[in-house]
Amino acid sequence: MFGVHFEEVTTEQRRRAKAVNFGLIYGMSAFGLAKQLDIPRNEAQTYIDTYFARYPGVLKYMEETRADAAEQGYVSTLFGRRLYLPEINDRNAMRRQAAERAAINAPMQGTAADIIKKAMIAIHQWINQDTQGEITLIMQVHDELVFEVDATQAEALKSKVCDLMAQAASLDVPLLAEAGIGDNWDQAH
Amino acid sequence: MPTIPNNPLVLVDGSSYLYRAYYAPPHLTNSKGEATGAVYGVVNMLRSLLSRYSPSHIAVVFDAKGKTFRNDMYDEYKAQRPPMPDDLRNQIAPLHRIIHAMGLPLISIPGVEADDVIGTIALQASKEGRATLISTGDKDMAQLVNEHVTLINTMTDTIMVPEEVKTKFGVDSDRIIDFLALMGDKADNIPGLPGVGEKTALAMLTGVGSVEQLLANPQSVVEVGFRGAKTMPAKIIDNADMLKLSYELATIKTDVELEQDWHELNVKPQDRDELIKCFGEMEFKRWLAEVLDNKQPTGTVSQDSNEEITVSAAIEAEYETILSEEALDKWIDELSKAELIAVDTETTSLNYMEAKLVGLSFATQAGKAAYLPLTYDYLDAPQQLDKAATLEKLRPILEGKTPQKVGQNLKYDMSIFANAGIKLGGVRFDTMLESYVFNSVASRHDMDGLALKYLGHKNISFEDVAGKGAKQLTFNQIDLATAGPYAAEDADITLRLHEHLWPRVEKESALASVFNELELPLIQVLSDVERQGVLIDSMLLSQQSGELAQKLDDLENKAYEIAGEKFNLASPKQLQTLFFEKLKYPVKKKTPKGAPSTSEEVLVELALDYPLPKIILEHRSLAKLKSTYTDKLPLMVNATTGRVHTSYHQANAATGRLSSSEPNLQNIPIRTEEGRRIRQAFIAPAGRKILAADYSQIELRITGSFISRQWLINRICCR
Repeated sequence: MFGVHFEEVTTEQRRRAKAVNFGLIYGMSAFGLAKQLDIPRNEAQTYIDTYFARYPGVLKYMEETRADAAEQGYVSTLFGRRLYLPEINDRNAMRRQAAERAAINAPMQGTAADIIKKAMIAIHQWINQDTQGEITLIMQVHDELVFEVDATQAEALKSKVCDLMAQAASLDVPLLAEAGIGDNWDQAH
Repeated sequence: MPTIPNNPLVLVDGSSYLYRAYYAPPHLTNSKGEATGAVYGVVNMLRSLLSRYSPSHIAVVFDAKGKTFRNDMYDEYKAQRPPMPDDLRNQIAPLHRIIHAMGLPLISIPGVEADDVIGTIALQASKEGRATLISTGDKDMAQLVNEHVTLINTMTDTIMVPEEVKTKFGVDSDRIIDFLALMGDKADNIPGLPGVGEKTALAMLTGVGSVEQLLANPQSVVEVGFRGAKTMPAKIIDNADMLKLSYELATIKTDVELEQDWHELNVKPQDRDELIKCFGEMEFKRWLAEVLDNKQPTGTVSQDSNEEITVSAAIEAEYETILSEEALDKWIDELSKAELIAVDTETTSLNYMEAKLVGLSFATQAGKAAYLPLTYDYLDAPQQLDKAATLEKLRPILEGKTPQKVGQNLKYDMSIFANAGIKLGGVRFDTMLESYVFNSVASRHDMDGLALKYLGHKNISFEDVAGKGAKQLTFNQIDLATAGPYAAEDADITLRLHEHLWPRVEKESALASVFNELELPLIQVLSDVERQGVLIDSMLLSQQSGELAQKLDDLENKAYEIAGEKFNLASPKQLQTLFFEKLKYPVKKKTPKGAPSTSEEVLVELALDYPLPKIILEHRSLAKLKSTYTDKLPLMVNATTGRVHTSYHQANAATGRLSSSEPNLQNIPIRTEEGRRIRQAFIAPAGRKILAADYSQIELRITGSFISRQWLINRICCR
């Protein structure tokens, strides 16, 4: 998107690309992007235009999602959970735009929520049926699950947990779970 | 008093209330000496309307600034009125802000009066048969009353339907204009016919019919035979123009061009932050506390107008308090025959690990519920059944797959039962989660809110029976005559809510599967996680608290040094003076009141150029960590288990995410050194390890799957 060769990409460019990638998908404006990257607004606008020109699929997806939301009044996650957006057709532009950003963001957030819930249910079932106290689920935070495990079986349990998490849902882009082991949450994190 | 139809379209004559509230006591002012009484009066009136009628559609209408078409018709129209007092004018902007923040549509159209806007909308709605309630103190509005349009004056609490208009004025609502035109109106400076007062006007209208007929045939009035009837025809002829003008002036327009249709006037969610600001500035402390407590506004909003409801405290019900073996046996028989029962527990505490069961309520069908008290020990409490033996008798029902159970937030009840040695089985439905899956943002998902929203029922509140604050009783101290119906009602309402909500969820297969495959099985998972708890290193945390205290101290000293004076780092007011008056920092943003802001956002911006804001930001974040985690976590350790038991909330976040409290695990900073140190205090017992598993880039993967384009897939997989 900066019109440079793959080998010439700098760390700074990578950082900017990431910000653009996330920012735009979640409905960030040129103004917001300029602020985050500390660049002039017209430069941010150029990034945005380049990005959407290069990846028309993203723009199409975003436009379709917004249009669906405006028509139905809600958006859905991959598993059918609905989020209503009462202000998607609001006459107040600020409120409407906030709802439009939510229309893009909520299906993603909600799907992530569904996935970790599915993982918890699958892992709970496995723990109850196939283990004898060597593992207990003790916390759920964001996209993370925290367990207490028998020290001697930790490695085996770790790969089983990661498998179950990755299998919680089948997406076009496969899920990946990574885990760590330690004496405390920070070490394991 | 006449009844108001369900979910009426409510149109509020904001201007008329503004004046009335301004002149009515109490004349409130805030600590800055600014008058706030009119704002208070109008908002109070709005809140009471919302709570009484739970409208899904409402408009608060104000006169716009400047002259109206009536001034063009007649120079003298309202000309005798003094200009608006400044301390009333100053209350308009804050009032409008609050109305916006309450989520209520506000309309103000130049060139016409509030009455005209209201008349136009009311006509539109009544043409479609929609019941409309106009809240006003202005009698002129009586002309709008018809079978669909009702007036309410909340100051005198009078309601006016067509019959009342006739009783009060002596003429039907379609002759109110004639009536006003004949006798004139001093308040609006409408001239009327000279020498004609209420009685004469009434006599002429009863005898002849209308102003139109009077003008067409002035002589007809003689036959009516009131005093002065003989000279009346001449008067009418001489003043015909004035009478016509009066008629025009008194007529509320019903064809104002509006941008919105009444269907668009739906009540929106309230803007909590804005309300906090506004109530704070106005110093409306009770309301502020209410918003801060995150309570629903008194009027819960029903968003879908097709589901009309009435609010009432009375429902058809038959509640029993079980005190004898015979009664218990009869209920056990009922329960075991039922396919689905609603279950609710009454306890001593909201802490699910510490709460003790004091009683149980059941419902087997709508309106049929019972409360089984077990441990009431107030003076002269009636003899109750033995707790252990009774629970043993109930065990097969409670633990069995059948009857199926429905509850409101059953995760809590499951823990209470677990504390009493019972593993609740057959958990099939949960009204909190049904509501959450049905529409996560339509309401909060607590029972009182749901009952009001979906059943139009105002539950007996816990505070009603237990009192408030420090004097609040625990449930086993409350007189059973009061506690019984309260507790039984909870089970009854739960069952009714389920009967209302479940068909709506089930009808959409996607929603039914989210409920059946995700939320329902998750209840047990979360309950197990909660009860399992987590071990923490209290020593390490207290050591960290000490270090943080030292760091905070250092930061404070550094800040004083830069500022050249001592000040309170936590006081926005002092920061304001220091930053923008003494140190002359550039103002980045203003508060709604026009003072330079010292919000987080502003500090972040200022921190780029100045050292002091950076120190204050650091101070804020460390102080927060200390108070919410390092100081508090050790206090949360359960004395029996020696572990910390977080509460997970399954129906809080609109997006479907889980949240937690006591402690809030999501808020421990992820990237900072201090956040890492707090996580070091979450430890494994001897012989065990902590395993933390995290989805990698899940948001990008999901988005990629949504877009399903090769480029994004490549980006992630081939890095």
